[in-house]
Amino acid sequence: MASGALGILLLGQQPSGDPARGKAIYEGKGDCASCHRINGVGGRLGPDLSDIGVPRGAGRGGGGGGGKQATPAPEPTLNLTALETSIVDPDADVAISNRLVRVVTKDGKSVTGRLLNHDNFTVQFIDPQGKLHSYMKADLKESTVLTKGLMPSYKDRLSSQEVADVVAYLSTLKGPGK
Amino acid sequence: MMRRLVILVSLAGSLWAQVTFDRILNADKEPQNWLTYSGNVKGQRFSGLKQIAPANVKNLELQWVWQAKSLEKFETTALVVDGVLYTVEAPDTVVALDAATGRIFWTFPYTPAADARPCCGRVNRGLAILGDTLFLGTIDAHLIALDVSTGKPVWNTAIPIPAETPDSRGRYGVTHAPLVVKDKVIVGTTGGDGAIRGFIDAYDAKTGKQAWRFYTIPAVGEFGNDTWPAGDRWKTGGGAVWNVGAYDPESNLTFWGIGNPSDSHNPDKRVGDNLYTDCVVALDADTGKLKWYYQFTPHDDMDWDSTQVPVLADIEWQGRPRKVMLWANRNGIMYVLDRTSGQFLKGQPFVKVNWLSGFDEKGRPMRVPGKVATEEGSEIYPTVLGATNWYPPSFSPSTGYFYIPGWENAGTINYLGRRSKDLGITPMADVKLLPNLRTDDDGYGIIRAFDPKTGERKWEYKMGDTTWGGVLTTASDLLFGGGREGYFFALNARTGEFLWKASLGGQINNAAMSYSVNGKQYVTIAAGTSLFAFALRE
Repeated sequence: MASGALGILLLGQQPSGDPARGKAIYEGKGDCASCHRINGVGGRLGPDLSDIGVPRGAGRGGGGGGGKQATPAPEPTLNLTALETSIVDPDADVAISNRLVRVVTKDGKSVTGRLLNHDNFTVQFIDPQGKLHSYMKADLKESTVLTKGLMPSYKDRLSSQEVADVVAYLSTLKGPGK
Repeated sequence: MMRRLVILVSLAGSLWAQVTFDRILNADKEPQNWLTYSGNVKGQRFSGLKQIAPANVKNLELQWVWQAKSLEKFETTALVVDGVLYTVEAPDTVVALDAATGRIFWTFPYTPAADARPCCGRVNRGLAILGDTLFLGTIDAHLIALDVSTGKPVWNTAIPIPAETPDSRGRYGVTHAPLVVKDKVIVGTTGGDGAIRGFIDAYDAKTGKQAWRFYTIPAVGEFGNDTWPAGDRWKTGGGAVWNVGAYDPESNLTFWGIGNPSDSHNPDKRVGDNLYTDCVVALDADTGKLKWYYQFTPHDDMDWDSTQVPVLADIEWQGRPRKVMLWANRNGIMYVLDRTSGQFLKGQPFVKVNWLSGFDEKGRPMRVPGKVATEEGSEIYPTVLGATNWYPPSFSPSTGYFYIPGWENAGTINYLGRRSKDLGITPMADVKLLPNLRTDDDGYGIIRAFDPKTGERKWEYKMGDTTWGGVLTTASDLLFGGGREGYFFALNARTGEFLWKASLGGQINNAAMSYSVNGKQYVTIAAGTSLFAFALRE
């Protein structure tokens, strides 16, 4: 038995919500698709959720080559608690791949998007429309990476059951054609 | 994790421009982009850009390099759309780069199935695009649609394996760039040196659902099956499709070159012409129905795949405008065909050829007696590796010339029932630069310019080694080429005059393309395992 940030019971790491209701919340009340994409539908600013339900976190096991006996890798698991936390307390653990960047050009134009890459001289990001941008930092007045406040907490927007429903829906997403 | 982003981001402004099929059809109107493998659907590999010109090409300098992690041959031609460059790291990992700086936007990593066994390298030659989706064919026979902004897969279709060859799954795969026609994505299968039955497929671009299939080896009861021996020999006849086709919107025909019959060393076990191997087939793009075909090498015993890029051109032919197809074939012959009807108009050698005595009234080639595979061996020019091969030619509407990269003076001793023997040195492509010990007697690389109206050879540029590199021409009458020696060079497309070179430290196994960002023209080439971008010094 495991419990998440809202104390939702996640019996044996099986989602306790209803996936169909969760899908409806995702597409309706939650307005999640304005930023997230599932199998080619939705926004691109937030992480693509097409395969968010695929268990992750398995170690690579040992050896493999060189004639050594390979150690069986631990079975990957789907971390439902982390899914729930990302909805109710999204700033708790922002993945490095989900940071935003705000740039201001020398003529005062401000553009913000999800950071894809930057180096000493350039910065690359994707804007809310899905357009890819690249700037020379020498052409900018400002380039700021933002690590918090990227997504609102749904703690007070959704009930515990609704969060559980969304988690249940997300756990069904295994990638295109799956 | 789910992150609804609330930072104040501007949602104003229109969605960035999608790549409609109309844009692809009219790619010549936006030369700042490179929307298909060949630059347009006509297979011309011609750039309308003029900033880099014969007078200033000596001022080219390196702008950026992108190094692949893969150690496979780099055969891909990138796409560029509105400042973003999309390329493939062999075998099937896709990357999106800033076309001005080479810095990375995203990567789509793909690990093919372990049993994928393409015969001649785990390579990829490119992508296709439509709307906001990229299309990738993989060496383990999948067609994958990727979100152009993020590289995330939209759909992933396992290409159905023909029922006749259930044990050959690992032989099937896609190594060429798909071709988008209207709302469909067209691909063919590699693997024709093994026991496969070749095909060309079309898939719905939105869903990945198969729309049609054309088998390159006809089944019993279908036209052409009687060009195979009675029995099951047709079921494993080969006929792979491992290079991109072309499309003619006026006739709605899509043209594809078909590979050799399998196996190439035992022609006596597959008596007949072996349709549609070594053919160009013209298919209705909506249905996949065959409209016409022309067979370049009936009953091929030399492994002369006809998997070259079809080049469509509108030229004056015998005093009248004519819509033709130009084809420089692996068998050493340059062809002019009427692309609407398939009528044979002309065929002539573009290098040393000793197997052809002429053509009959229908354009069927006639072989010199004895210049076939024999038990004691027969000396045949060109080599089994081809007078040219998959690496692309170019047609310049500016000069009107057809430019062919290839091998001169390279031959083969062809034996019946066993592997042929090269005359001189006829190396396969490699990544690294290797010592060159050849003389001209061993064969050498060439780029030759022909006037397709007359067949007149206008000029030749000779390379010290053979080549596996294609050519690009531009509206400023430049030609860019390269080869095994690792030189990326520019020639005057009208005269063949050598103008500029850069030594890139690895073999060039692809062809250049060109684009511009913010008014600055770039030209790219891959050498070794890296992609290089050049522009004029500022």
